[in-house]
Amino acid sequence: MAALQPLDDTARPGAGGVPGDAVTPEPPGRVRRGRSGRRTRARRRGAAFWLAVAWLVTVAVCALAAEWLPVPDPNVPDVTRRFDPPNPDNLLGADALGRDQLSRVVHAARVSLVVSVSAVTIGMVVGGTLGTAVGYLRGRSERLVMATVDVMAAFPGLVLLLAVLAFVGRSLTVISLVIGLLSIPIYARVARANTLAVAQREFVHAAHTMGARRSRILFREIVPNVVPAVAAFALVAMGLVIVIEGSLALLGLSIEPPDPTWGGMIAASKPNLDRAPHTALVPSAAMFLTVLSLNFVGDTLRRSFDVKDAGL
Amino acid sequence: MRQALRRLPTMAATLLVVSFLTFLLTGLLPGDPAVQILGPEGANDPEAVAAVRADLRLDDPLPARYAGWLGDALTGDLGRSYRTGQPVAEAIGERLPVTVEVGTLAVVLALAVAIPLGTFSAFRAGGPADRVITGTSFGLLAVPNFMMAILLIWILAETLGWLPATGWVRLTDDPVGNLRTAIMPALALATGELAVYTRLLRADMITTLQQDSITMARAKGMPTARILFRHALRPSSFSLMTVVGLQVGAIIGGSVVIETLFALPGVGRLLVDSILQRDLIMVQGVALVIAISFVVINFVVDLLYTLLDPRIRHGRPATA
Amino acid sequence: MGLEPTRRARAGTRLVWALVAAGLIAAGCGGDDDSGSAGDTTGAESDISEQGDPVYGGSITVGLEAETDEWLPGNGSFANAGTSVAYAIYDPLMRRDADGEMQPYLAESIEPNDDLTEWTLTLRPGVQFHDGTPLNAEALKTVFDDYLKAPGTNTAGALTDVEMVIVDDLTVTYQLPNPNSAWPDQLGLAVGWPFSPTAAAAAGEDAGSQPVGTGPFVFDSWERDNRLVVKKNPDYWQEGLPYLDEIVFRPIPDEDTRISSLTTGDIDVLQTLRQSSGVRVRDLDGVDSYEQLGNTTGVNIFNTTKPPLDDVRVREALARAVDQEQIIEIQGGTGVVPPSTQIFNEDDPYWSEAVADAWPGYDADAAGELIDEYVNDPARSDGKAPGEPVTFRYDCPPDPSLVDMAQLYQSFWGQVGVEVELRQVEQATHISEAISGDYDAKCFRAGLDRDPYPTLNDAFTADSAINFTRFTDPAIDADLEALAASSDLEERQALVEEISLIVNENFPMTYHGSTLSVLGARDVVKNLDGWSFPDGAEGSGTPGATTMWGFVWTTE
Repeated sequence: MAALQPLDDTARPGAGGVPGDAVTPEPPGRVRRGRSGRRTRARRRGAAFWLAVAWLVTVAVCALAAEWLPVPDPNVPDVTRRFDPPNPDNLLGADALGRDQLSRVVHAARVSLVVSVSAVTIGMVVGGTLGTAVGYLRGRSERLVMATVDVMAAFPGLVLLLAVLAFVGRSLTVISLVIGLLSIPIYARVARANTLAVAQREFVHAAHTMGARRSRILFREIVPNVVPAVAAFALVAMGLVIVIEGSLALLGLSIEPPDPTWGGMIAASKPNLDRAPHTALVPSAAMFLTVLSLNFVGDTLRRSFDVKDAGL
Repeated sequence: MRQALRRLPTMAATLLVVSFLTFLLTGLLPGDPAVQILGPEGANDPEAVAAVRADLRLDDPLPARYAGWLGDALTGDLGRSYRTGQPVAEAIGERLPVTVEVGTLAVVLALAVAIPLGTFSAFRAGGPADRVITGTSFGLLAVPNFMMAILLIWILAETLGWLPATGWVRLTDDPVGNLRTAIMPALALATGELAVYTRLLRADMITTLQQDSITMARAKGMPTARILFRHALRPSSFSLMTVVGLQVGAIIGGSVVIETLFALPGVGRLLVDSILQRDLIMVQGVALVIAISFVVINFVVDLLYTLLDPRIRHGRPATA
Repeated sequence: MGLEPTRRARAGTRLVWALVAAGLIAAGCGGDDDSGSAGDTTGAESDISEQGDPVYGGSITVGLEAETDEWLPGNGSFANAGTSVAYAIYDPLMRRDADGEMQPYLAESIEPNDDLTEWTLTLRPGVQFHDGTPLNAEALKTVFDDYLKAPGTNTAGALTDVEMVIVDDLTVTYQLPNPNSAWPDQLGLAVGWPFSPTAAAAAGEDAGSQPVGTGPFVFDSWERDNRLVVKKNPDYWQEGLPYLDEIVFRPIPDEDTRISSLTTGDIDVLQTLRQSSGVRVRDLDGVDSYEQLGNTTGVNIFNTTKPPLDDVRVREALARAVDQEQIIEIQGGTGVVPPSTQIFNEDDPYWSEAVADAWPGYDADAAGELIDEYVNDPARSDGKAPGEPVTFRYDCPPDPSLVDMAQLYQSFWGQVGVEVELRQVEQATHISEAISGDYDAKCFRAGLDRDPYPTLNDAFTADSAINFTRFTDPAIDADLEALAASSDLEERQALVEEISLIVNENFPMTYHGSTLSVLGARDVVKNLDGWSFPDGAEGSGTPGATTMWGFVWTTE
């Protein structure tokens, strides 16, 4: 999976979704998904989906309410507890400075949440608005915007991200802003593709025929149908952003200590794998489960919102 | 074909804009290169600063500097590293083969696993095997490549001692040694890719398998393997091909972390090192090369796509 | 030489070299050069297999902690890793012996005049560079004038106003502007690694990537960041050396991967300056570890001109607020690395008990009182209202063990009410900020693996470009002048003690343990610490994880 390339991993045209999912462009007239696909989908709406949602809710609660949870201060070292395995005082053990791993992993959820939500919001608001607008308006503005988007996508965003972090400073704001900026092109593409599809549908044509104003059609008919699809895509993208933070941490370019991040915890655990594997396992598991859940929920939702699936 | 070639000017324009943005980026980063080159001590000497600035054409207006840099770049001269004095083009030339080899190996490995798995999974869609494959590939998608890399080093190198943890042996020096050093990084990069490819191929294959021609072939009693690999695979693989092209960006991004973790002398590590050491001229060169490879590879994929799929006449909708 | 681009490249690195020369090195960037301390010290314990008799032939691979930018003395930044490679290709004119004295190595002899302003160096007859150019007074002078003193090189600063005069074919004199008893020290560093002037002239801009010296091995090939290969020098001037046919040097910056490369046998030897890595190497089976407690210590440097750290009360509080044992513990150095109270380690002739006694121990209450006093001082230097907390920024390079250490410091200082912002900063920026004074506090490594005079002179005088803490004192200036003019050990010890006492009363830096340098080698590689001088005198072992590769052999 792309570690540092938010741009192209999921930037498949048509819609968004978990990388590799069937979101390929379909020539008109091809039947989209067969019975077996539908059956699979129906099954997935079961326990696994709600488990994933439950995990995400837990992570969100941890992120929002970390201070009020009954865990020790995540940043207070206690050298006597260095590398302690899980025990009644430290349910998930202690790290190299003897800090409580449970508390750190809980507080780290906040960074992951803030980075992923703000980066995704920037991309979604700017890219989504642009994509929807030009997808509906078409014409010269569309060509101009999409050409810009193509150039942005071809620009090595990775270089920008690393350079800005190294030169300007490593902060939550910088990471969120840059990743958000870099993800604008994907959202623009996803939103535009969905807008194009929605604009073809009967109710839009009907509204046109009835003489509705274009702005009304855009906001009453198009937007409500495009937003869910883009939002489902955004959930998957959030997972990607969390992974990017982890990669940055391994390069020493994530936020400054001592505030914990999952990536930072993994990077810090690397020299201690042999004597304290729990220091690596705990944050890795948290990151894995969260990304998995985001992919799963995002993917499931996307299937239900996907305009192509919605019974054209 | 003609359709694809018609995209050449667009591609050239894109490259031009990207190269300008790259130039701008490195120009806008804080800090006077002359001061960085000379260091705080040397920067006290205005003459030395002026000399370096003149030498780097730093006092020229930006467009002129860009034109000069681009002109040099077109002739293959990307300047000399501020840090080591090595020509930038030479440094990139030394490292590009490493990144290309590992990246290619990763794609090949991923395809080698994904094609049979995806096909089989589609063939048995809904069955237990399909559920295992689909579930596993979904899980693999959530494993970041750095996690996989750490895991591989820990298991294959440190615990079992089968493979060297780090380092690079050139293909020309020792092909076996080369493979031993390339395989783990390629595996780490391939994991995510193979999940992407498997899922994609499975979905497209399911669609293909419902087409009339396949149903007919089945009715005629044609052997399953023959149906799958002779008749169904080709029409199902176009989007896979597009995605393989698009994933180049992901591979380049991934190689930055992977090359750092495995200590490979590739372009990704060169980029990180140059950024961390503020060797801006090197950063500029690497960024340009990354942008070019990305644009060119996608162009080639486009070209292949239009060549192989007779249905696509107006360029693929993928560029929509 | 002298072409613009090369000089440009060179100048970017001169800072680092200047620090190496001064023995003051950013933590994480490697430390020392020739070590004064020999043999075992408090915590270092080498664990070496039976050595047996020398064997000729074979090839070994050495994992280094860093790549070096280029190899021409004067241009390259030779930290520990680079110095290690350099000792294969070049021979130092002088090196330190087991007793810590500088002795002639490639040189035959060196003699000062009475006032220590003129040093006469005699070369051995019949020594040739790898390209056949004879090593004589003329070659030495060409290198000295055209390369080492060329503007923009990182050696030019150290050689200001030093002249070289040819006496005869094998004899030169160094004419110094001031008395300097520590001059031979300089000749153990890059200034004293002769390289072929004809080869350098022929290579022009590429001289930095095609080094030609007199050493036991001849440079063969170099792929940056991957491998540098040297081959046996069949015409080496020391009879019977070297034993090995080939050495491959591989930079592997990541500590974990370097260690796992040793366990998997991808490399035969590794070097490290990290306490935690040293302890891990010690525990590996089938690996000999050559430890040496370098005469360098981890320090925090404080900018004594920038509020709030310009106030000595704040600096003293920061020193007292920290339990050094815990800092060493989380670095993995407990039982290996003794706490420090001064730059010198306890085995060094310049270590002083009086200075150790004068250094305050861990006393958080006292620290809190000092901070309170400053915080409630209406005239506090940072201009904040009384009662406002003391805040500053603490910079450290982004290495996992240093990041851990920085967080522990932050916690200690936080407990006495000081709010510390941590920042990870790359080596290059770290150093240039230290030089320009654009910082509050930084983690560094202070080292005196050289004579104390040049380092103290660089560290605490007003006209030094690398007086990072900006701490000066007229008494120190006077002591330093006397130090340079004296070659009497006891007199010098007393002077250094005086300086150290003044430094420790003013807290421009705090200490966190000596630096352990380790060479770990698969036990088939022998004699890493057994090198000797041409006259048979015992060498200083493996200071700073370097060795003389000509003496090493492998039984494989």
